[in-house]
Formats: sequence, structure tokens, C-alpha cells
Amino acid sequence: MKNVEQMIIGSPNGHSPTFKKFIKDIADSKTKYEESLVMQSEVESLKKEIKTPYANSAVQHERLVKLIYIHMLGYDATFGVIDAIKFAQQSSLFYKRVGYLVSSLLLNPGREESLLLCCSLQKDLASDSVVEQSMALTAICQLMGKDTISAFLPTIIKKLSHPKEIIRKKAVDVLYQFLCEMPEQTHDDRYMKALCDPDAGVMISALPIYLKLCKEQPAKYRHMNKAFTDILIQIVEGRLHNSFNYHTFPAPWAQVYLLQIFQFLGSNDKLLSEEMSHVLHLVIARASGKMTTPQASDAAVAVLYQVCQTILSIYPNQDLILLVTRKIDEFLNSSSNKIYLGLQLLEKLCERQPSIGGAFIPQVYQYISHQCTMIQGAAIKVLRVGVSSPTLSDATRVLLELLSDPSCSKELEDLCCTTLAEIGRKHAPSPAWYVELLLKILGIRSSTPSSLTVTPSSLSSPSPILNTLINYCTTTVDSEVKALIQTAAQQNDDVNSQKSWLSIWALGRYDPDFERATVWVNKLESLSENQIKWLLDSLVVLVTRLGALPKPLFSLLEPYTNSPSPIIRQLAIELVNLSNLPNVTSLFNSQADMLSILIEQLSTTPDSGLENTTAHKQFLAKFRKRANFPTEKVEFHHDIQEEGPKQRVNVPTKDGTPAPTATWVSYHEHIPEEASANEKPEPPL
Amino acid sequence: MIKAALIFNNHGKPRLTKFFTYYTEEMQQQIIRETFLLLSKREDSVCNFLEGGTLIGGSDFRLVYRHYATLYFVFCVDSSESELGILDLIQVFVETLDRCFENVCELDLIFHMDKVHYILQEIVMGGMVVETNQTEILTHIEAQQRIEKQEAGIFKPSGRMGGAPARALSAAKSMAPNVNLPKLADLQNISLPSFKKL
Repeated sequence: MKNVEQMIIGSPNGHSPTFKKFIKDIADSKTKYEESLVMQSEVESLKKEIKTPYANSAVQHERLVKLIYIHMLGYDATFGVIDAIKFAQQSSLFYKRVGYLVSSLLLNPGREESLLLCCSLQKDLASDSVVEQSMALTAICQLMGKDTISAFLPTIIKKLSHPKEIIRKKAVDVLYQFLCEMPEQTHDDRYMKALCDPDAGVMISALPIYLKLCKEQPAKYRHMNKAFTDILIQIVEGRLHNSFNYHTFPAPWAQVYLLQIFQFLGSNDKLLSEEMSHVLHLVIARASGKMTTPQASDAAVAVLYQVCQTILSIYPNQDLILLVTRKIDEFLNSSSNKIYLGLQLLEKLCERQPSIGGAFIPQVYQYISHQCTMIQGAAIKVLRVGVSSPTLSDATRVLLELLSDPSCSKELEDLCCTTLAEIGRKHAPSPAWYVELLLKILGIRSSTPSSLTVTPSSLSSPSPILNTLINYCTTTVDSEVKALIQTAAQQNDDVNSQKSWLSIWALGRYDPDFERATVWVNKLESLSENQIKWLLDSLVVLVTRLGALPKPLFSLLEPYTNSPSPIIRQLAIELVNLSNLPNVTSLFNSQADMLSILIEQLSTTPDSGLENTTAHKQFLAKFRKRANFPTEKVEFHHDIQEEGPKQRVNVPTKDGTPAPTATWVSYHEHIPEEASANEKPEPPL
Repeated sequence: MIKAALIFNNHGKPRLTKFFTYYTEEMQQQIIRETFLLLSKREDSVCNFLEGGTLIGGSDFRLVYRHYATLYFVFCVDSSESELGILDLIQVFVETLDRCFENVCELDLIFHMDKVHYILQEIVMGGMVVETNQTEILTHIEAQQRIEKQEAGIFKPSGRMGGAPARALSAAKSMAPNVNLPKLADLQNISLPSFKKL
């Protein structure tokens, strides 16, 4: 940091000692607290000073500049709003300018005080001075909202015929703001007037308006295609005055706008796309000539990037796409900014032309481990759309490597996982391959430090990958998958790992006996609340398959029927009741479908908890009658429902964790087909 | 559209904040802090774009920035803006500052924050790019400076506000745009280490 003394000595003599002191005090404060003390005292004295008559113009001006400071550093400066407005109403331009500046920083269109400025804004718009008018136009942009726009509109439209181009240009910008505030303001004649302005600067500032209009209703502006093509040709051929050049490149910002307009006009429109192909050829040729020179400005490359985007968005033209692929290659072999943009282009290319984009995939792997996270993210996104069966194994290898890198950020890790899951699901050679991939992801994630040093809250939310895996397993009948899951589940008894969730889940679905259930139940003490929920749920499924719980397990689990957590209590009661039921397996084998229908029906009733019990009772009575269901068994379920129908249906639970899934789905799995019921119950009341 | 233009130094102290879209004051401060945290972690060799923080609107927004010696110039933009275009716009902004302040440094921004705002106003208006030509921008700034100077001559410092003869004032204003004054005489240069560009 610079020496503050030096600052003061070096500060221009235009500043008063108090202002210098103010700046010095801020710079001197070492902590946020010290700064706040300086600010508080300054605010107090300003509040007093600002009320007193002004002695010196420089001091008055400085008071307002101090307000900007106070506001910028995050302290409340709104006490100065009225004074700022007063300044804006002065006839002196010196005061007016700072008045408008401070007002536009402190106010927003929603604040009533901004209405106080309407009058002086109108007056300034009517002024003879160009500077005053342009100041007013700038302030209108910032300060006027929906309610006040209509009052200014006629004046602004008149400004489109103002002799000075700067006024016309700013008027067009205000019209753009109005269009954003009130999208129904599509009066083409005004915009057309701006677009046909004799001054190219005004014409260029009308382009964003057309960009917005074409984006929303491309069909309505098809007829403008020719006009835009002509404008772009003229710009590219260098017909504009050379003051529009930026580093000898003609009007790059205008070119970008026009190309963006083409992007919307040409998408899904073969005819227009053909019409514009000539100019796109022209642009890409001129812009790529610029890119090869070492002093190429970023703006010129921006044009090149945009023309590539446009080509990829419009109706495909193979010649142009071929050019784009060459440009992508150039982008990828350049500086980091261009690599990022090149990857963006590649992502689009893979989406639109998978066969051409696929060839680039091996080139993308190197960027997965790039030092810039933006580039890494972009590269992963390319893989997500671009990977196909031949590149699948390499791509997954690279992504898994990134995943096991401990320095990988949380966002990238998530992106990486979802990408792996997605490409695996799409292109996996077999279900077992896919499951193996998911298991690998789970394994890596649980071994990375970020997952090992988990806080209780992050443990309570197992990864989406786990959900994907479990959902996939419940819907896929494949013996290899089953074997894989069982092996994975048996290997893992560490309660802190991600795989432990899988292990708990799998014991209910696949285990042939109570052996592993016993292992887990013995560990109950060390499990998190959510894991207990999962375990209880799994045991419920296990009991329906294997019959009553062994005695030791039963006695260990019974205390949970008094758990403070309603979900655990609910699950434990279910488990105990089921376990007490004679012939539980046969019941589920014969009547499971009925039961699941019952549960399904109940779960679709309004989720209002116990108040609904009467409705439930009525429904159950009806159900019992129609299904000829034995009273005793229905009572049992009735109990559960009264205990809390809510918790049973709550997926996911309140704390955001995915509640035990697929319990009832898995009941279906064990039903012999011929046992399914013929009769369907009536819809719930 | 440009959502915000922020300048802060290497310690995260704001030097200019301008929001073109309305955010509450608290939100503005949080955005400044979040942006600084995101940028300060990045090395100079990585790319100049960054996905916007969650506060400004998440992944639909980009932070486009340039890091000069002690200062970060950051523009928060939505997806409709061209990243490289904005990058050069920042360059235009900084070059204009450099021309106005002659070897601009952090101190110029601290002491002339109002002027920095005026320059920015001539480049970006309501979130849209108005002017990218440096000479044009300077012409507009000069026109304002000139009138100020003329006014200062009319109003002596002791004069009460609004007391100036209105006719003389408007005469000064209306003649201003046609006169071509040479240099920015009243913008002092602080002779401190110059502001190196990358």
C-alpha cells in the first residue's frame, strides 16, 4: 500500500483539508471496525453540515463526493438523497452533474424520491445545452422506472431527430431501457428511425434493440435479414469512418451485435441461413486474418468467436462448419482465454454435429487437468455432450483421475460426477459396466479428504450418485449388477464412507439371511440419524422377505419405537409390528400388491397429517369392503397410518436428505405375478 | 447487459462501484465481497472470465476482469455479452482513465472518484455500451469540463447557489460544444509510480 503521508502531499490542491483528512482516515483504518468509527463520525458531521448554507462551492461539491464514498463502502448515505436532488435541480452544471451522479447511485426507480427528479429532468431535456440534455438522458436510464417512463417517452422520441448525434445515440439507449422495462413497447417505426440514422454511431446503438426483438420474435423480423446483411458487409469492407475502428479492426462491437442477431434469425431457417452465408464467409475470413497477427485485439477475436457461434446456431452449412472446426483448433492451441472460448464452441459443435465434434474429444482431455477452473469446467461440459462409445473408456478414466485429485473444488467434483453418470448411462456397454462405474465414483469420493473430514450435516446427505445407483438397481434386473452390489456392500463396513449407505441399502434387498443385518445393528450407536433411518428401512424390507427378526436384533431395535425423531419412531414401529405379525412373508407374497395399492392411495391423499385420519378411516373401510381384506391386517396398517401417514410418504424428508427410497417398490419385486389383485380400490376421498 | 462495474484493489477495498441493475445496498456489498474472494484466488495466468458468484445470479452471469498492478477492474455481465468484447471495453476504460489522469494510479481513483464515474457514464449507460472510441469519450468529458470551468469563472466561490445570472450561464453552455479547447488543464497528475498494464 502507498504511504498515506505521500498521498496527502501528493494530492492535488483542488481538495480541502477536511476531504484529505477523510480519505486519510479511511486509508489509515486497519480494521473494519476502525473504518466504521470513521464513517460514523463523518456521517454525523455531514448530516449537520449538509443542512447549513453552503459557503464554498468546492466544499459543497466535496460533501456530495463524500456521500459517494460512504455509499461505496457500504454505509447508509440515504440521508443525503434530498440534498443530491437539490443539487441536480441547480442551474449550474457543476452542481447538476454531481447531483445527478449521487442521486443515481443512491436512488433506484422504486424509490419515491426519484419522482422529485422528474421535473428537473424534463427541464434539462428541454434545455439548449447538449451537455445538459445528455446528462439528463443518462440519469433517466438509471432513475426512471415503469411508472415514469411514459411521461418521458414523447420527449425521448423527439430526441431521435436531434441535430447532435450524441443526443440521438443516448436517446436510443434510453429507448432500449424502456423496451427492457416494458417489453410490449414494440413500435418499430422509432427503432427503424434509429437504425436508418445517417450517423453510424446511432445506427450501432440501435442494434441491441433489434437483437432483443429478434431474440424474442425471430419470425417477425425475418424481412430485416437483408438490411442487417448489408450493414455487416459495409462494416466488414471498412466503409465506416475510421474512428469506428478499434486497433484497425472495423467496429468489432457492432459486428458482434449483428452476428448475434443472425444467430437468432437463422436458427431453424434454411432460407435466411443461406442468405447470410455469404457475409459469414466474409466475416470469418477478415477476422481470422486478424487473429494470426500477434497484436490482435481481443475485440477482433470476439468477432471471430461470435461468427463461429452464429454458424453453429443457424441451419447447418457444411462449408462454414468446416471453417469453424479449423478455428476451434486455433482457439484450443492459444492462450487461456481463447482455450475457454474454443471449448465453448466445441461444446456447441458436439451438440449440433456429434460426428465432427467427436473427433476433437481426445484433444480435450489435457484441459481436464488445466490450472484454470473455468477451463476445466468447460472441458468437462464438452465431454458431457461429446463423448460416444469409442471415447467412453478414456473419458471416464480422465474424469475419474480428476475426481481423485484432492485439490479438485466441490463444484467441479459435482460436475464431474454428474457428467460421469450421464455419459455412463448413455453409452455404457452393459448395465454391469455402468454400475461398476458408479461404484468407482462412490469409492473415490469417500476416500478424498473433503469427504473424510465430513461434518455431521454433510454426512446426512449422501451423494446424488448414490441415489442414481440405487434407482438404477431397483429398476434393473440383472444378475451381474446384483452380484456387483453385493460384493461392494460386503467389502464396506466403515460407517463414514459413502459406500456404507449402499451397504445398508443392499442388505435389505439382496441379503439371504440376517447375518450382515446383525453386524450393522450392533453398530447402531456409531451411525448417524439418517443412517439409522436407512437401516430401519432396509430391515423392514428384509423382514418382508425373510420373516420375523431374530430375538437379539428385535430387543436392540425395540427402544427406537420411542425415538425423539418421528421418522425413526415410525420406521421402528413398522418394523416391530411387521416382525410380530405371523406369516409376514406369506402375507407380503400374496397380498403385497393390495398393500402397495393401499399405501399408494393413501400417499396421494392431501398431506395434512393426523387431521385426515377420519378420511383415512373411511377410505380404509371402503377399501376393506371392496377388497375383502381381512380386518386384522388392515387394522395393522391403519395403525401405521395413524402413527403418522406423513412420514411414510415423505420422500425426501424435511431435512433435505433423500429418505429411504423404493421400500414399496421393492415389495413389488417379491410378488409372484399371479398374485396381483384384480380389483382396484376407489380413488381416495 | 452489463450488471455492474467494480474496481477494487488487491486488498479488496472498493475504488468504484456502479450497479446498472438494482440490488439492495446490503446485496451490493455482498456482491463486492464475493467477487473479490473469487478473483483474489486466481492467478494472473488463468483466463479472464469467471462464472458469476451466486449473489449476482449464478452461472448465467460472467465476471470479466482485468488485473492491473494494484487494481482489479471487473464487469459483471449476463450471457448476451461477448466476453472478449467486454475485456476490450475494460481496456478502453482504463486507457481513457490513463489519458485523463496522465499515468493513472490508484490514488487518482481515490481522489477523483466523481470523475471516474463521469468517464464510466460516457462508456456504459444503463448497462449498455454507448461509446467505445476513446477520442469520442474524451471529447464528451472535455465538453463537460469546459463548461464547468466557464461556470467557475462566472460564479466566484463565494457566490450563493443559483444566484448566477442565468443568461450569462446559458450563453456559456450553448457556445461550449462548438469551441475546441486544447487539453484537459485542470486534471492534475500525481507523480507516483505509474500504473503498469499487463
